[in-house]
Amino acid sequence: MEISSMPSIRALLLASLIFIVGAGNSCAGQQALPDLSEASLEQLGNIQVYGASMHLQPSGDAPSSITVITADEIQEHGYRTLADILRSVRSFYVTYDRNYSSIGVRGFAQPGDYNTRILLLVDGHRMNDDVYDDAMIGTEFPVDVEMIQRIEIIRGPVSSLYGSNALFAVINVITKRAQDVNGLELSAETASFNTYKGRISYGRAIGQLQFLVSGSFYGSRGQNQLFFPEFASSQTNNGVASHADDDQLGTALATVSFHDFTLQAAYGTREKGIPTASYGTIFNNAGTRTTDSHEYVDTRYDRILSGNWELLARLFYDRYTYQGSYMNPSALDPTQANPNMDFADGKWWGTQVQATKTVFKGNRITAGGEYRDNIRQNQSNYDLKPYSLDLNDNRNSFTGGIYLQDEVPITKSLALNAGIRYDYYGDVAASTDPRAALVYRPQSKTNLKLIYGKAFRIPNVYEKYYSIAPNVSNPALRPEKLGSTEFVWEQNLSNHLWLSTSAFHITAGGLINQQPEAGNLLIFLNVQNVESNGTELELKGQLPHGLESVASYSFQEAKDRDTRQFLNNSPRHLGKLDLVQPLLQRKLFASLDAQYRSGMTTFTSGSVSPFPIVDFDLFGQRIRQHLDLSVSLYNILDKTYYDPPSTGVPEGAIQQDGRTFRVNMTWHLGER
Amino acid sequence: MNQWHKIRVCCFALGMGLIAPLCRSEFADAQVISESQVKAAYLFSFTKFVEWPAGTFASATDPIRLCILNDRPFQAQLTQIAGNKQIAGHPVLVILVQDIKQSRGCHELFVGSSQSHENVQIIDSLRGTSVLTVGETNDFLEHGGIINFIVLGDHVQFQVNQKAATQARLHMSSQLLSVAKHVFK
Repeated sequence: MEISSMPSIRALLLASLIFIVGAGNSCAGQQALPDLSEASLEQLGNIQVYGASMHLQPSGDAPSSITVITADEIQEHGYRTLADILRSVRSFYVTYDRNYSSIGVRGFAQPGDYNTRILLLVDGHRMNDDVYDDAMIGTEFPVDVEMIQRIEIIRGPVSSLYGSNALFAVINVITKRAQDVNGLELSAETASFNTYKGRISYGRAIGQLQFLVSGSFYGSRGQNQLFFPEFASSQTNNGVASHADDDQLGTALATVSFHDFTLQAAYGTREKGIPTASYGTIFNNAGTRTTDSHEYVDTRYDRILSGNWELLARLFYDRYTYQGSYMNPSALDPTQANPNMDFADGKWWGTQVQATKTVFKGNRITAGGEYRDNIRQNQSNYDLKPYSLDLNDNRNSFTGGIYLQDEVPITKSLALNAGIRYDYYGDVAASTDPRAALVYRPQSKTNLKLIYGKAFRIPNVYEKYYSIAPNVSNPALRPEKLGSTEFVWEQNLSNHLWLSTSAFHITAGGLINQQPEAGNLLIFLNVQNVESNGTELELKGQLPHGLESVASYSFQEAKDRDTRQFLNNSPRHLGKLDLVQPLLQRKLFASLDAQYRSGMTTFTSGSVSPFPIVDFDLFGQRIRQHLDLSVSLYNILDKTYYDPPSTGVPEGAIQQDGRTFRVNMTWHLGER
Repeated sequence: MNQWHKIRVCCFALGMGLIAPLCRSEFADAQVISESQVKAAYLFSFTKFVEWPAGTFASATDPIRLCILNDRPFQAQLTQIAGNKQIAGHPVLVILVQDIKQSRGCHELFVGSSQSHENVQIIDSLRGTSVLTVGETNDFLEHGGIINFIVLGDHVQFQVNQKAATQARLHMSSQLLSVAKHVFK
């Protein structure tokens, strides 16, 4: 019954969206552009601007704990990937299994998890795919880091606004606008391990028409020789995987906006060699590799109306494909490969409408609805020699959600921000997720926030239906649930020093985790009940003529509530220090990034040791009229350090890169 | 199915609720407004709340010169806002200046963050003149600039260095000072 009624519901939702957008547009035709010259100073101060940079001025009003990273910071610190950026953020840590990068937040990083408990957005567009729920942050992230204007990171559960996946954090990557590039921009880069990158971008604003196009490619041979002690035998090349760590990618981004409409198309594809002999493949065989591609088209209608109305409508289409080639040993001759091909093919479209009204000063009501139609959620797998089809699972599903959020001032210094969202799924139980934040500002230099929120994640088709040995499918999986209470204190200590602290208590139930099943089988089950308690401290300072610094420390204890054991992949201490010293009248910036991660246990009953990492970057702005130059050294202490393995990786720990370098040159040929 | 029917009704009601006020809005509506547009609008508006010393304008119809240091896109924004308007009878001229020498004839000068490495030099060389200097970097006021933009959350606010204004013999209205986020005396 449900199945047969789905197309009509889809059609109806689509029709209503077209109606809403169409109606909004027909009204727009009667309206002129605003005349800002007549606005009063108070009105100008109340305009919500987009593309605002938040340097040293954290958003005290925000009902959550937020970090903002700007394009300047990305350049000054020599960050190469989104993973590099997130690694520098308070209470975040990133692990790399030499294929995918995984995010940990506040003590949570499930082994083998594809960042499903983080919601990743690009300009508000949802990036988690419809097969694995994967938020890709390493070189597999489909947007070039140099095209990022800023990143907003919201800690804590925000399912009350965003629905599934927004458990531990929401990361919104905002891309550059035409005027940020303004003309032709060329970039060339070289780095350790025969790594080269090139980018060409062009942005222009002609009246109300703004367009930006950018394309980049990247190729890296990777480490020529990687040593894995687990394979140190003469049959397996004495543990050396040679020429099996290559990484190549291409990205393209186009953004066109005209008046209130923005059309964005993005494409990214990455192919990575897997040197770890994952999933029982032959060691030291460069044929084992994965390719991930994600493309999307997103149209947005974003309008600020008088009468304090704001309207956002969005229509999008996404495609995600994954292809894995796994060189399994042949049953007849284990030195020969029987390639196994593993595929995922996802396709989805969706729409969102949101309206915000400022009723009176400080009181903002946001209401919205979202519909997503996962028209393809396919997984397949076959062996080549001899051919045998092992999996051909074709699925589709849909989801609809509505949400409401209200910011209400209670007294002059106390405000309440409350929201609730209802999500309907065709195949799993609906979820209702509230969130409430009390923001108290006894004086302009102090913000106190008390935040409570619930969040959920629905099981994805990979967890439910992927049944290639040793995996067993489990269609009965239920959504996972999370609740979080957080207290935030932000204090402006002086004109140059800002303190931000928080304490949190998180509980999560029915977390989906891969478990051993009878024999050597693995199954995803709603088994884990966990909690994490912790505290974070961050000091941000800037001397009048220069040195900018951010120092943070976070302590968290994440435990299994049933066994009282500490969770795997969960460091108890994280420390970070970022320093930027402008030199030569802000033409040259020297930056130092230091990070410390305490040791943690791994799911293979082993552990990885604590380590400090120090990166150094020199960034010259306009060293010639049009040229920027950045020279970076990563891990300058050449520390040997390890990340925990993910499931399917046979090693107990994965060694990371030693000291490496990168040189980037960027020519801005237009006016800046 | 029953549940979906309810959601459909809700969505429809929500949709109608959204559209109705759109069509009723009486005033000109904004597109997405950028930070630099707001700053340009402030630059234009500041002139309404500042009095230059007597004799600054040769005549009542002498133009008021709003200068932008080396920032063509910003000049375009300000030109658009200024249009053919007048401020207290003075026509408005938006001028792109390349160096400090050219800035001496300005009534107001905006030094954007891309030019902030010249903050000290510019402010020093304009000492003794009555140019209203406006910047957007943390150290602008410390060096003797008069107004500085700050971005708080998603809002553009400004700070005023009243001492520097007095030294430049500029009189700032109390209205401007009351809206300023900070006034340094």
